[in-house]
Amino acid sequence: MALHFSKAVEDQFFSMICLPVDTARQKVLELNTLVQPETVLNEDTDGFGNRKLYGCVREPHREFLLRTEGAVETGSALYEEWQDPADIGLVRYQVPTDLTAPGPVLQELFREWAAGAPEDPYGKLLYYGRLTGERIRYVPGTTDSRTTAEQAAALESGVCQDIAHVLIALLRMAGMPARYTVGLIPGEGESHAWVEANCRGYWYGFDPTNQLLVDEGYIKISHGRDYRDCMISRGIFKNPYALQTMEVSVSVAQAEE
Amino acid sequence: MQELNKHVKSINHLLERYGVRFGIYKNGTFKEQLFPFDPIPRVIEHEEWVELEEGLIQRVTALNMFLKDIYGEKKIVKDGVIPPEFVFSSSGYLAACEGMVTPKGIASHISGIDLVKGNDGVWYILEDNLRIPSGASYPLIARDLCRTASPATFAHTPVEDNRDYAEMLFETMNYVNTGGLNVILTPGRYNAAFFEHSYLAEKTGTVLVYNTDLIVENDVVYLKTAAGNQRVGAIYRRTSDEYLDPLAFNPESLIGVPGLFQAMKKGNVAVLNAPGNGVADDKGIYYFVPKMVEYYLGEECKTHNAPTYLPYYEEDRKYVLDNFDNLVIKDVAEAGGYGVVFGSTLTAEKKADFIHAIKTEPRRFIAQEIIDFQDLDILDEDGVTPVPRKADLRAFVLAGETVRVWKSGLTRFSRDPNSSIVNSSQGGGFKDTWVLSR
Repeated sequence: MALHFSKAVEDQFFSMICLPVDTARQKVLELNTLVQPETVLNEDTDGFGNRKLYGCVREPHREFLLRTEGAVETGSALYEEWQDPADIGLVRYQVPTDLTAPGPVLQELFREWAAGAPEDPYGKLLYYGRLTGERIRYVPGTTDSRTTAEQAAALESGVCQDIAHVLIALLRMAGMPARYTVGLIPGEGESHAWVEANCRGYWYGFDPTNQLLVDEGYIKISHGRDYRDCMISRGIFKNPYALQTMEVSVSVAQAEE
Repeated sequence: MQELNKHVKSINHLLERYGVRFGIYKNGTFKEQLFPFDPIPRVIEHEEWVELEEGLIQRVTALNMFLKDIYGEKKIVKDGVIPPEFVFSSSGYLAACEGMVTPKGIASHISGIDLVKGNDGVWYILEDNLRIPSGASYPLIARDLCRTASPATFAHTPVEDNRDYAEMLFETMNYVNTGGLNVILTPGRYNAAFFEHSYLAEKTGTVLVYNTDLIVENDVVYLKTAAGNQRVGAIYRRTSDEYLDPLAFNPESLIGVPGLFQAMKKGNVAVLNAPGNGVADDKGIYYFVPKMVEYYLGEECKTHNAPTYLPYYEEDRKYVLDNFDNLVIKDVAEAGGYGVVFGSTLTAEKKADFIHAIKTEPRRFIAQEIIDFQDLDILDEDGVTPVPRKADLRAFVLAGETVRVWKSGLTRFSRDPNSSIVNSSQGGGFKDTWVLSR
């Protein structure tokens, strides 16, 4: 990730959730992080078990770069076991949040779809995931980072964040614990968001934007109740006249055997 | 006591000159209004106070244990005393605070407990304010002015001196201080209680700082001074949780201190009150406070909650719907007297909306019996005639080495004879509170 500032800034504080964690689905083999200008990188774990990097660049600068390279092994399992560092239980992923609270549109959608839903929790994830991906079209530019699931459902369009929020809202209405998941998919581009639902104690992932089961191609970085818990980058800097442009690029490729 | 009535005009004039104001935001614009002072004090008898004091100490002790438990082991939830959805869906529950250990295990250092005295003589708790309760400065400054206006009144009446608030606050900060300066962090002059922030800083001899005066380096907080950076050990912050640190909470906050949260999490600075306290003063959690007292302290709760119903429980929901017109309905997400409605005052249409909301989102509401609470006399606009008005009391409980109740408090009253909502943001006034020493 790179930040370009139109004028020099100082006291730039940053906090990033951008490193993959070890789970039953994936194993982090190697990880190297580079930050420029050079500064101390601190690490901590947030309330969901995600890895957080934070630090500060004091001296004036116009470019900031944080790059992580590494290797992750996936494919050993399709699910994650239930682990909760905060030991709260599933309830955190069952109650609505500001971004996922259903309104009339989602309630209507749920009523319309619930009748045909299968009993089995895993079946439910696939069922609602498929319907959500069909209904909410991927149209960048129609929503922003503050758009709620309800608004996206009314627009019937959005980006991966919105489509994931709609699916989370529906699964929670159906009584299933569901969480927002951020990670990487093969190819070059930006980070991606999908949904994990708890089926009888195991978390299974579904990517409603691409209508795909989350398989070995997906590298997970973080999970939370909604987008706000998983924001990749947060930061603040000093210089009211500087404009910031952010560039995020992700590249995932399969390693040769 | 009558003596003071003669001075009401000059006291209010002085309060105005000293800038004793209360700022409110209405329709997006900031307006400061005077907080009118009424010279007739609320008088609390000695024995009555002793009993009240015991109850408040017990209550705040249990609330602090609850906060420590919720962000730690969560025993009260695991033991089934409080349903998890009440805790973890509360807007005051901050996931970021999970696993946080506060210095000396105290989370609510300064608690403002709102009470009313019923016509049955019982003090009822209306709500607990454990985030950044304001108001202590008003009775402090009013007492000072009254003392100046009529020294004889205080020489002849056995009133507990309330000038020790600053000392209590200072001791509380010192007790949790992790090594370094004590500072009071204000969001700035457009905050509703800016007067209070500056007044308390002056009285405690503490530095009043804006966010830009503080800097975090390697998880340690420093105050920038002409003589270099000085380490800060305790921050009495008056900025709300949401805006405290853009890296941990609302990323758009411009009044926060970036990195403060991590410094606190590492145990390098004490923040009074700790972030995340909103989970304990949530209107829905209020119902469970007596259960907390029993659970953590093994004692019967000495304070009295107003009879409260949670529509979340089916039995309560039925009661609320059947008795809608006799109850006060509160939206748990709202504060400052907003979101409080009396069932009987609603139009048929509004009532139907509310009932629908209660049925679909029961967790959002609580319902309470209307407490028939005592009126206190205030001087009418002519400055001579006493007229009865509804009034409450905010008691300040400070938790440091010991838990103590300040022998005074903020008595707020409604100026409207037909209203029983006394919040200053709703245009009420205030009185001094006299606790008799014998």
